[in-house]
Order: sequence, then C-alpha cells, then structure tokens
Amino acid sequence: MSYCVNCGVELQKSEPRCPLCGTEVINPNELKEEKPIRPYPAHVEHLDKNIDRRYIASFVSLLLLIPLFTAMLANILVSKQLTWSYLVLGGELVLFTVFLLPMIARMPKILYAVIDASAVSVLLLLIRVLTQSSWRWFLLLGLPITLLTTVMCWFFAMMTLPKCKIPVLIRFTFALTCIGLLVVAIDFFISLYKNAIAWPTWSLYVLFPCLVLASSLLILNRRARVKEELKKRFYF
Amino acid sequence: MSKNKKPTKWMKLDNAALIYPATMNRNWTALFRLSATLTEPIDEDILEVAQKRTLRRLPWFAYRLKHGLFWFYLEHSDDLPKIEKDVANPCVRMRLNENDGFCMRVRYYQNRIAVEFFHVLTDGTGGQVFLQTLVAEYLRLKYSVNIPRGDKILDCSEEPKPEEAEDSFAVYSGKITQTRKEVKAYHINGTDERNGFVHIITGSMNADDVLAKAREKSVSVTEYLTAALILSVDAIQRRKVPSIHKYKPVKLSVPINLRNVFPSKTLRNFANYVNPGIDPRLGEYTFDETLNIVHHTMAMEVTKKLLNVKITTNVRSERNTVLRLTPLFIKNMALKYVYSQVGDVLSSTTISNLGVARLPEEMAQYVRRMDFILGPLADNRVCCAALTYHNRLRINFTRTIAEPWLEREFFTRLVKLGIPVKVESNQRE
Repeated sequence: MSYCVNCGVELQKSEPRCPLCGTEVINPNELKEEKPIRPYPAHVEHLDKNIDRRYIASFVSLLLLIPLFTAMLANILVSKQLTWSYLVLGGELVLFTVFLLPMIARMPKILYAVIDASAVSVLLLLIRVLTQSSWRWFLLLGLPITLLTTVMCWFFAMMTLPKCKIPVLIRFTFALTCIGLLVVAIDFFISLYKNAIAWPTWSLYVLFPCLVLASSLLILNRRARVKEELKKRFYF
Repeated sequence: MSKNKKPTKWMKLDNAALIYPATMNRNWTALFRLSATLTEPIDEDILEVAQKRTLRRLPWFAYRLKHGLFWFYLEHSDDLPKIEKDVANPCVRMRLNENDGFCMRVRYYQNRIAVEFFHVLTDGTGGQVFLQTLVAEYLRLKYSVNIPRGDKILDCSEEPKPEEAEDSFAVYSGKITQTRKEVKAYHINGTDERNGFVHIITGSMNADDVLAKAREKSVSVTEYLTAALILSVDAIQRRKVPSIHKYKPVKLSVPINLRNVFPSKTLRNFANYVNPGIDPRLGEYTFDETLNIVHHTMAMEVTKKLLNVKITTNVRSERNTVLRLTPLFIKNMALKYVYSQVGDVLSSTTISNLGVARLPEEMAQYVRRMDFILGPLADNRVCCAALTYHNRLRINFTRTIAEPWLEREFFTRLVKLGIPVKVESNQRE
C-alpha cells in the first residue's frame, strides 16, 4: 500500500508514479514484488492528424500558378506579348489575398482588410491599363467603392466578433444603416462619374426601407419582453 | 409493435440525440463508457454470443446512423458489431465507417468487459441496462448461472418492448417554453495532448464514508461531490486568472435522469441538465456555502414542472417548421452554432453520477467492479463520472489536456474533507 507524499492519496499498485502530481512511488517494502497488471492495455488508438490548413492553402496557391502560366503562355503565343493574361494575374491575386492568405499568414486582422483592398485596387488598375480607358472611372468609381466596401466589411467583421458587447438588435440596426448608406454612396459616385448632379436617386429606394427596418429594430430593442420573445422565437 | 413482429427497421433520433451527429467531427464523438470487471479473464467467443443474444433482446442498440435529406436517422442492422480489444485511451472518437456504422462498441481487456456508446443511442441509464444484460448473458453462458431478470437486467428470451425505444421527450413535453440563455462559465485550459490521448484518472473511495459525510450536511452524495468539484474549479481559476474582474462563473453540468421524475421506460436518451454554480467575483465561498447553493439549486430546478419546461423548449425547436424543412447540411451548421452557444460553454465541467449499481447475488459474486466513464466533451477539457458498486464509489476523470490540475485539486480536497481516496490511471510508463 503506497501513498503519494505530495497529494495524500493512496496509489494503486499499478501506478509507477502519482498520476496527480507525477511524484515517483518508491515503497521499500514492495520492491521485489511482481509487476502488477496495468488497468489499461499499452496500445494507444491514435487520432487522425488535424487538417493542416496552412499546408493545404500553400498547396492550392501553387496550383493557382497552373492557370496563370497557361494563360501567360497562350497570351505570348497568340499576341507575342503579355496583355490580357495580366487580368488572370489580378484575379488570382484577389482570390489569394481574400481566401488563402488568412490561412497561410497570421497577422493583425486589419492588415487582411488593407491587403484585400489593395489587391482589388490592383486588379482595377490592371483593367484600366489594359483597356486603355481614362483614369476617371478608376478614381471616381472603382477606388472609392472598393475602399468604402472594405471599411464596411471590416465594420461587419468587428460586430460579429464574440467580444463585441453591442446587443444583437443594435448590431443589426448598424448593419442595415450602413448598407443603406453604402448604396447611397455608390449612387453618389456613379452620378459624379456621369458629371450629373450628385444627388441620390435610385439608392433612396434602398435607403428608406433600410432606415425604417433599422429604427424598428431600435424600438424593439427597448422592449425587454418583445426582445425576449424574439430571442425565443428566432432561436434555432 | 405487436408480438412476433420484427422491430421497426428505422427510427428517428430522439430529441436529445439530434445535436450529437451534427456536432461530431473526425476527431470527436460524444461517447460514454460503462464497464464491468469480472473475476476471471474474458472469453471472446462467449462474449460474442452474449452480445448477439443481448442485441436480439435490445435491438435498439444495433442501429446504424444514416444521413437523411432533412435529418439523421437510425437504421436497424442484422449484422453484429465486432468485439474489439481494449485500448489505453478509452472513449477515443468512434469512426462510424470503421465500426460498420454501429453506434456502440464492445471491448475487452483481461477480466473487463466495456461498452462504449455514442450518445445518439442512449444515455447512462439505458447503457447500464445494456451492459448488465450483456454481462448476465455472458455469465449464464460461461458458468450456467441462473440470474434473476427484471427491469435492469433483461430476459433475452423475451421479445423487445416498444416502450423501450420511445422518444420520451416528445411524450412528456408540455406547452410552456423558456429561453436557454445563461451566463457562460469558466473553462479549464491547458496543454493539448499530442495525438488526442485521453487521460483517465480513477479515484475510488468507500461509498459509506461519502454517504456519511453527505448526510452530516443533509445533502445527497451527488450534491456533496458537485460542491467539492465547484470549489476545485474555483481554486484553479483563482490561480490562473490574475484579475478578479476577469473571473467567470464556475458552473457544473449535472445530468438528471428524467426517468426518476417521469414514468418512462425508455432505454434511449431521457436526461436533462442542471447547472449549479457560484460567481467567484463576489468573494471566496466556503464549502458549506457552496453546498447550500448546490442543494437549493437542485431542489429548485429538479422539479417536474421546470424539467417539463426544459423538455418542451427542446422539443419545440425540433418541431419548428422552418428547421424541419432546412436541408441537413445547413441544419448541421445551425446546430453546431447552437451547440457553441448553449452547449459546453455554459458549464465549467460535467459531473455525472449514475448512482448505485445493484446486481443480484447470483451475478454479483462474479462481478468485482463496475465503472462509468464520460468521453471527452466538445469544449470542456476535463469531465467526470461516478458509479457506486460493492460499496466502492469510483469517480473517473476524463481529460484531454496534459495537466491533471482538476483531479489533483478535487481528490486532495476529498482527502482533506476526511474521505480516503485511492487512485489509478491510464498513464503511460
């Protein structure tokens, strides 16, 4: 009969050391005794290794090079120079930064948003250069809409974090208001691009329902009983 | 189902089982294990015959889990699960495709017969009936011993009874529901065990000692152990978390056998949970204070009316038309999300006490010991299960982190309370 000097519990004879603290068991009276049967066999059933997302993402990134090189080769063979294949490069760059980069590299979340926005801007820039169109649409339409959408996506991502303390209904209120305002902003930039008066027109059809829904949610949020009922009803 | 008719070929999952297939993954299945240690080494051939006869009496355990378009369902199989040799890490995930789709597996090692159940089939009480019937049948075949049969040890010459496969949640649900919202609890975190090794530490003690201590405080054994475990988790949080403002409530999930409250004879899942606990931000709790909280929480929540409300809430969710019409793959995602919000996250750990296993004398002379082990939980890294047999209360801790903090804290606490504890484990040499 051995006791752990550290924990005060009695140890089964099969225990070579205390399973609670790791202290080795040496009982001078039981040194010559036969090795007792262990309560469990020695064979360990191993689990599958966890999926290495980083490895898979790196592998898919390499695979992306195949369509890129194929496109470039076809481009050179046909046009004798690289032209439209830059669009494939831009498209794959966006694909890589949005889906694969978060799996490969760990960095502050804000950096992902900055990199994604930059990748989309590069794609738009490539389109502008290759189509030899004016800078106007890029500066007045492409770039501002990209930046605004990125900021909004960042805002939504922040609100879905578990740390976010804002009540759910208020979060939806913010989200709806933001969607409405983004549509108005898009309308504004399109009007600006067309040299028209920058006054929202069609976007108001989106903005008003969004604002009405958002204010309804705001009102609902003030009624504890209704809020509780909604939580219950929409629980799935 | 009338007599002489074959059992239903397929059945729906019961209400509690719905969440388990949705939340399972390639490295985790919600399992639990019951085992009986006999006086002599196990004969595999006899065990196989005993299993065949037991499954004929209890066909509900020979069902395979299948995907439907909208729900998972269970389909009966005339095949038999293979008898397996036991492993060092019990309750390691069940790969259904390797297990011929069966949701249970019978394993043996030396003198021990162990059955591991996937929770879609049954709960601890149903599992205990299966194990006891299996062991009785094994002993009858091996020693020609005549064991009296009853509710807990079934007669394998009888036909299966339909009430044993009833979804009692649906039968006993009422009209009033409540929200499941609760405050999230503190979780013990540690170093991930490589290859997913599952540590088991068993603490055994004299059941009379524990009962006497519990009687001294006018509480039940489960309440006594729950209070000791709450304070053990609390002590770990106080050591690990530097600021009192960051302390989270310490709550334990205590499964309640609903068969003790509702007159059900089902052998499928019929349990619910109560989460008694303390808020460590309010100060240090004494053992008596904690006992008081646990005792009164249990008294308040384990009532027919409140349990009925909890059952109804779950059954209503299942009957929601939108949810029913949602394709399974979307439903799985939704259920995973629900589980992440109202599952393990609400409790710091689980303590499941199956109570006392009583076997007839004819059988007890061949059964030396019985154990109950919970499989690893989805989010909580440590949990424990208790079962008393032959006046020995055995508490089995299951852990998926390297550090045995909770076990040490708990067992040394019991020793300090005057209950001698003997420990054994599956630690590697």
